[in-house]
Amino acid sequence: MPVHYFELTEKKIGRDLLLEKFSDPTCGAFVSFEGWVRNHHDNRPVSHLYYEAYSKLAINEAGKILEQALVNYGINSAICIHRLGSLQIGDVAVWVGVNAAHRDAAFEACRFVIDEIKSRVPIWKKEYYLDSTKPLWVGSEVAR
Amino acid sequence: MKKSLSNKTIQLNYFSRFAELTKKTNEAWSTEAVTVQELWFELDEQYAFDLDISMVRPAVNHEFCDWQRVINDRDIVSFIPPVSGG
Repeated sequence: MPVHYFELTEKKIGRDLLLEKFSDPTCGAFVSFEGWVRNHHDNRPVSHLYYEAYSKLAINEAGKILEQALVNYGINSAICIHRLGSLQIGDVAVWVGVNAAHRDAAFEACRFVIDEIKSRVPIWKKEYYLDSTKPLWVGSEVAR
Repeated sequence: MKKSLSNKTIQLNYFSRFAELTKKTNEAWSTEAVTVQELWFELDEQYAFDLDISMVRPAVNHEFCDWQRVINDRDIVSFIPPVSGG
């Protein structure tokens, strides 16, 4: 039976434990995506990030995205975990995994999930810089 | 604010840049606004939000909604600035 799961966590994402959830003899494909904290953005040196979320709305909206992925791509499972709080360079900020009978559906569904999570789910990233630039909430730089 | 039959008390939740701008994460708010759009402009008068309405999405009771959504007493309302997860 298809399953989906979304979680917000302040703890480090443990990919090995997540992989165990995808063991399924009917699935010939597993695809995952990891978003890592990068040390630069728009030519500025990034020191670290801070993530916050509107948890209840994020869980509702992410649930709809994962449900959509199951229906639209006919995959077996979809899991997404997103970090909150302070993250350092190289940390995994978001993890998406999907499995399916065949690879085309798994690739496409994984891409769909991360793209939708980034564009629809109320999670915000504040960037802190190594230079004298003030910390910035990413995504709403164009203030009126 | 004057009291009338159409007066409602709602809960506002603020996140990211709006929490910083208002210096609050939530507050009770008494309003006669009928829609979330009217409420946005009322709050904009109070706080001078630094984003245009076109960059913001409204949410009521933990679900996104459209700007014409009617506000009811005790609703939980948020205005969602551009998201940047991932």
